[in-house]
Amino acid sequence: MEILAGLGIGFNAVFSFENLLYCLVGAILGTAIGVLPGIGATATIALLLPITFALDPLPALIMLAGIYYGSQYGGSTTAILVRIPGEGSSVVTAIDGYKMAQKGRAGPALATAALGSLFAGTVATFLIALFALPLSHLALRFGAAEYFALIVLGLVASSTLAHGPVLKSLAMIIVGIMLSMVGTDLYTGSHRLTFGYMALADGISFVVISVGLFGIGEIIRNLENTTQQDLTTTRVKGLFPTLRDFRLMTPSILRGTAIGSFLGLLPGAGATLSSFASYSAEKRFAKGPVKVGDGAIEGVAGPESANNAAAQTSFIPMLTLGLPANPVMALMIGALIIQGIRPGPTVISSNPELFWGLVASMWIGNIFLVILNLPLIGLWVRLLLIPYRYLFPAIIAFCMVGVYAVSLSTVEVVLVSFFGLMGYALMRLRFEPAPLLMGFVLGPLLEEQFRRALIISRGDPLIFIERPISAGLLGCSLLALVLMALPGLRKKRNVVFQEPESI
Amino acid sequence: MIVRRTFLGLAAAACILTGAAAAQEWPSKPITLVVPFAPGGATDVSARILADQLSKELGQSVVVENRTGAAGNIGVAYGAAAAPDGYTLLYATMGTMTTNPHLYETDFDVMEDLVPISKTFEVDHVLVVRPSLGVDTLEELIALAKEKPEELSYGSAGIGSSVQMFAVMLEMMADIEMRQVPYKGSAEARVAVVSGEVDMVMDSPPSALPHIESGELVAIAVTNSRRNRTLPDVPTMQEAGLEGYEAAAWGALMAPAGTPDEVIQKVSEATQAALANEEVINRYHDSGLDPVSSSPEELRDLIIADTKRWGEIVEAAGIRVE
Repeated sequence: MEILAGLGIGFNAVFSFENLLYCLVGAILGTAIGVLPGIGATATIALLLPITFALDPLPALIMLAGIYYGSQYGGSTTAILVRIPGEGSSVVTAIDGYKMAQKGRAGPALATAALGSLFAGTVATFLIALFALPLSHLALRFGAAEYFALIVLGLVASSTLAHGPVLKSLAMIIVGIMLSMVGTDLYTGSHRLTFGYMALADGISFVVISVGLFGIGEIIRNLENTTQQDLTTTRVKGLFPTLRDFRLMTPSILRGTAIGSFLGLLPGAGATLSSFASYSAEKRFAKGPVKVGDGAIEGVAGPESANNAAAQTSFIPMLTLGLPANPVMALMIGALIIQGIRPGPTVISSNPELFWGLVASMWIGNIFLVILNLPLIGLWVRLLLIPYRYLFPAIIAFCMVGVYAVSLSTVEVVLVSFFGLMGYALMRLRFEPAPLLMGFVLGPLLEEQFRRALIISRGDPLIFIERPISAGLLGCSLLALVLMALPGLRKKRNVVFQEPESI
Repeated sequence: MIVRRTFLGLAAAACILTGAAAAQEWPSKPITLVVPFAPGGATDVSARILADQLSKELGQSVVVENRTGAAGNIGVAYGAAAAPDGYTLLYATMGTMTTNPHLYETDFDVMEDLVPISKTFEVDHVLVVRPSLGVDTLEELIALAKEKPEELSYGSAGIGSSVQMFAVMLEMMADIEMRQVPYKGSAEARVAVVSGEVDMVMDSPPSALPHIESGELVAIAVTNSRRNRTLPDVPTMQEAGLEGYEAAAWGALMAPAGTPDEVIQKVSEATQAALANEEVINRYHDSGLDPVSSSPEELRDLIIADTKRWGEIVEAAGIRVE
């Protein structure tokens, strides 16, 4: 009952005309930013920080939460429509979502993303309400060794992301990890593989790689077969999911919600891993007629639910430990601090209105997004009816302007072009870009945690097996690898893969 | 055509005027304040608070532009290379002005390419340890570190960060040796101490406060020569027995070398007025910073002194980057 009382405080605080307005404004702004390829959360932050100064803490946070969810959802929209994932969490959405769009089912894909997110958001809101305090300590049990083991498991599981041979996707993961090594070494401060360019000192940005590899690469490939391009986009079959779609997506949404809710609690790697992990799960468990990877609705429903659940539960480590999962949340901490509220173990009891208000506002933000986006689906889908010869120059222009606007660096624009060509070459050679992006996102974490664990253990590698959580996760990874290597045992793989998710 | 000719005429006139009259008329258009760090961090937030107030003091909008990357070196290089007309100013920090030049090959020379305007803030750090370490005072901590050389670890927010430099300074002045464990920022480093993964960290007092109050962290000493407002019961390093230890990170306004003296003087006065504003003071305090202004000369002396000090520490501690 105490919990419901808490949520009551929250809803009471949020339900004012002013707060709801800020929530709506945030959701609209976020969606707009999310659908403009190349413009990410960082640009938004720069624009909006001064506005939050003038607001009270609650409306400021409500608006930021709206922007956060809006941009996430907007990122999925571009992933589905034009195959440009706006953030790491929508990389896998681009796989099946875009294939669905090509088959004329962009509408159901977009609706699934919205509804799955709403469901996951609702569940995660209640999880926070019920378990915020006990769960806040979970992140403290994950040290460097545990994070390393978790990421290893994630990478091993993700070698199933692609269609083709395991060897090819492993190769892509490794290329991704290698690309992620460009930049400043966290432990020594020296610049690696920057070739003297200061612009590369902080590494290659995610947006640059995803826009290049996915977006531009896809455009080049589409231009290659001029006869088909208009056909693939004109057949639009229904805007909303059918009853059968709902039956197919329900278990996926449930799985995604469970995976995301858990991984969101781990600020180091959780939010990024959740959609990848959920996609791997769908590859194994989805029972629909369309294979996941060929444009299956499960491949959209699972990861989208997972990333939204994770986005929600990641507020727990943010508020109780001050650990942000991404730049928008870092800004939220900034907004809190400006208002004189420091994240910490007592933030829930000392500022109940703020904590519960934020929890409530996240949920309301989700609802606003669905209300906002369901009618927009028709519009988005009609966007695809624009003849490709008009659409693609616009996409390229938006991408380039967006990338330049965020970094103010011409080097990045050149890099986008380079990765565009690389993306095209990889597609022609039947290498898939998703595992590459996964390696790129997780590579730095892998290296950072590995080296940190060894610094802490003074170079003793036994730290990875002496700590039980780490040993368990590494054991699962090893088992998964062995089973993958033994084709005779493949049928039993499902059994093995249930383990890591239940930890 | 007439419009074009008029425009050209005006442009030519403007060019002639720039040299002579510009300084008196300054500021006649918006001023860009380059911040070499990402939006949302303490440096950026303090820059925006100041920019807001400076706009009022100067009667022209001061716009923050974040030029991030390479530990702040990209933004500083950009600011140093800007036209010295008073319309581009730089929001610098202790790290970018006085430690980075010892650690990185930079495209700028602080003394030659930039001129000081005013200090803007000071921020103390507080040394916190995990409770399970079993020490409550600096004396006990130093004794433990001497008993177990190179076994205690401290979290840092990256090479050259004040979080690291202040700890290295402690090592040198107390004659102890510890291990550095770098994290991607002070929040991560703090949580690592709370979880017991590392033994201590030099944290910002307001951020550490909730954890000190809940008993998850034990405060040992603050780094500045006076006690911290948020932690009145925690002794300074000197009070705790470490003679001569005094360190605070700071922020400052700089301008590209060659900026007219009149402009520097105007900005410096406006900054001092802005930092004396009640609301600005409160906002700085809320962000965990102490607003402190200075004359250009005082800032120059501070940069010279800190550059020398950190240079000696970097060299003696053998911190090498490239």
